[in-house]
Amino acid sequence: MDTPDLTTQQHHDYDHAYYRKVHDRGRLSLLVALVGSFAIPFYLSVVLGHGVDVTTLTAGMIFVLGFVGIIWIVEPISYYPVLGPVGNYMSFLSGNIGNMRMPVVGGVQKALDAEPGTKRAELAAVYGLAASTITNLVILFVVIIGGTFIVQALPDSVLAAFTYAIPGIVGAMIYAFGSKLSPRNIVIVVVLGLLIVQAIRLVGQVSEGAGRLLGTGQVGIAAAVAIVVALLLARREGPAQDPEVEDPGE
Amino acid sequence: MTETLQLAHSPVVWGLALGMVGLVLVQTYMFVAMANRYVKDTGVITHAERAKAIRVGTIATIGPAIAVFTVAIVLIGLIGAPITLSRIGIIGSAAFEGLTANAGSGDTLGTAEFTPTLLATATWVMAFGGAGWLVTTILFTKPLETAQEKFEQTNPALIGLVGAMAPFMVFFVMGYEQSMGGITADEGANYGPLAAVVVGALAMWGFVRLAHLRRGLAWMGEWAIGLALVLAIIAGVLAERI
Repeated sequence: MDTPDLTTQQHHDYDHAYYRKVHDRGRLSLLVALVGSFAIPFYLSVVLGHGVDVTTLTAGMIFVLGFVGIIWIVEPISYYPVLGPVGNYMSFLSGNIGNMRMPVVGGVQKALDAEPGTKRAELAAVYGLAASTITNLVILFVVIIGGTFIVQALPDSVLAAFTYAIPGIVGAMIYAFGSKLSPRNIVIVVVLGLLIVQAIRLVGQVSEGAGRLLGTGQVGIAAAVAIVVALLLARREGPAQDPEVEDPGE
Repeated sequence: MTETLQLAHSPVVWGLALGMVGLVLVQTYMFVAMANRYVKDTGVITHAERAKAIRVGTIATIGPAIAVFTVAIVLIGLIGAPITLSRIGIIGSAAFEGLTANAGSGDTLGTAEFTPTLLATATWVMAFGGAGWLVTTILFTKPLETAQEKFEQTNPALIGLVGAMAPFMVFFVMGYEQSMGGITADEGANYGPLAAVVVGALAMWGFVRLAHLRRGLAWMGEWAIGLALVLAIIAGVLAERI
């Protein structure tokens, strides 16, 4: 969009150096996090000698594998087109991707009228994600320090109302990303989405275990299908053939 | 139980948890500094746009953060503040960590059987759960960037299409599941989630349109998510009572 002419060799080299640094630092920080996340368990089990309950540990790990094993693989791939490389490294370290990081990037792109995949969208997302991470930590600290007190001070009805925050933000995102698609592509996604959900439900009726396994990963599976369909559509139509409808009605 | 929670709040556990939060802050600082440099050298976004992105990021996080941390408070009571901090402040989400903590403790959270050994076991299971995402992100992100770069040259429209279609699918399926989950709930139909999804979408559309209508209303573009969220929550509560 408004990016300076990135086709020149100069800009290409600049980008190349930038992304090399992004991957170096991104992977290093996640590697440190990977090792660091085992520090508390190591301290409790080994340093203090509390050990582990092997049966519970095994059962717990099997639970985790069944619960998120598919999601581990599908999420970094399916969220990448929106988050971009820096966004991937930032979001998968700070967590809460579906309910916080994706809405932030969607909102930033919408507020700046930036098309996903452009440098503008990608760089703006970095600032949005940084602000989101800090805000998240500030609120978490407030909760950690005064959490019990806050909960007791708020009426139950107010706390219960917050259960609608997540469906609400999901709705807002359905518009934010749907407004970037042509009506035809919206229909394609909706039909495919419903088919996938129903297919997984059918599997669940045949085999409860398999159904539960696929059910927890269904958002990721649906996203993966959407990526494949988008690739096929773009390939068939060639470059810049999809009528991008931005803010219908304007 | 008390002994276990005392252990969970020991100074070393606090220190290790704060170290993880520190790592998130260091990474954030690092990428912002790099982005500043990139923006300065290429002018890809303006100063005003950067400020706008920061405001949108803050506003869009507040609502969901409060929602998530009502779950976090429960978790603090069960596994202590520092472990909650180290899990939710990084990598995980409150709901997932609650489930893994419970599975990792053999369903003893909040009971007298929750011994220090089971606390240690639960932290191993939680760390294992988060590790999967870290490993795949480390492995996949660079190849994805290389693929994106290739597509950018051969078919630039593709990135935009994938970038809108995949997340639209994600949120459509999430919204559908949440709406249906409420309607088909065992304890009676609840149209609250459906109303929240629909009103969230309509309100987002409305505020974005208003923001484009007049220059004086442009601020609504930034607040669109926050305002849509408030209306969605109100709609959810009202629909629940019908």
